[in-house]
Amino acid sequence: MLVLTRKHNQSIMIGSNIEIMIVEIRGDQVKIGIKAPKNVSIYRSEIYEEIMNENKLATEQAGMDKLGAITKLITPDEKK
Amino acid sequence: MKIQSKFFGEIDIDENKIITLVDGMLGFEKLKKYILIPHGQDNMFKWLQSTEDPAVCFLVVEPVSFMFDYSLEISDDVVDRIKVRTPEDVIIYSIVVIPDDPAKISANLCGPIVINAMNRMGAQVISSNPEHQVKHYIIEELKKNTARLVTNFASMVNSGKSIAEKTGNSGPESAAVSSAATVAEKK
Repeated sequence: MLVLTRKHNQSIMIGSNIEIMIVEIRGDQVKIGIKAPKNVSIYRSEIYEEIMNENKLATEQAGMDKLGAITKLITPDEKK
Repeated sequence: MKIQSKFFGEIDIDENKIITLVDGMLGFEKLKKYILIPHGQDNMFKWLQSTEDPAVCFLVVEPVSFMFDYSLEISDDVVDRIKVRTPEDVIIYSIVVIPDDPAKISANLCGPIVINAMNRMGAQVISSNPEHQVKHYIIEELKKNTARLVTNFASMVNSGKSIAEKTGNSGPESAAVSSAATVAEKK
């Protein structure tokens, strides 16, 4: 991992079209501005982790027997 | 082509129906090939079975089937990667988690799977809608939607307008489903 030190209002370039700027530093929080082409998706990394964990949970907990119970719970509502 | 599945043993699948998730699923990046197995007839759930690892099988559901006003904005890079030509070709699935208490069954709307039905290419995407959470409790959502449909129906009847006139369709339920099936494509 590349580690760079930057000051307030300084920025870094990633490739030729992505710029990341330190907009504000306050206590233990840093506000970051990102300039990137529209087709580049930007998300907080926690969201990736959350989805990854949910995917893993889904494969671990999937079970035929449980689904039978759910079908019973859902069907009466749908047929109303 | 014969594959091993998690719940159905050895199954014979049509190779032409294999779905390719271009980046795999988050946490399962190496597995790209999947097949959809319906869970019986008239059931809202399907199994998304990996054809490369028998142990990996997800229960999936179309969000529209429990959230009638569901819509998803698909970013340009995803549209390009899975070569979507029109929003009508896109099928959206949400991954389901069944905990020990089956009444708490939940669907992940934050990380849905979008599949282009025309070429069976798909991707797990991240929804840009902050209301789309990792856990939506399906039974609660169904109850909410049913209550809303009943309220809409009652207000339409009270206002004296015919339902067909107001929705341009045969009933409030089908109107809600058709509007929900519209996939917003970012321009």
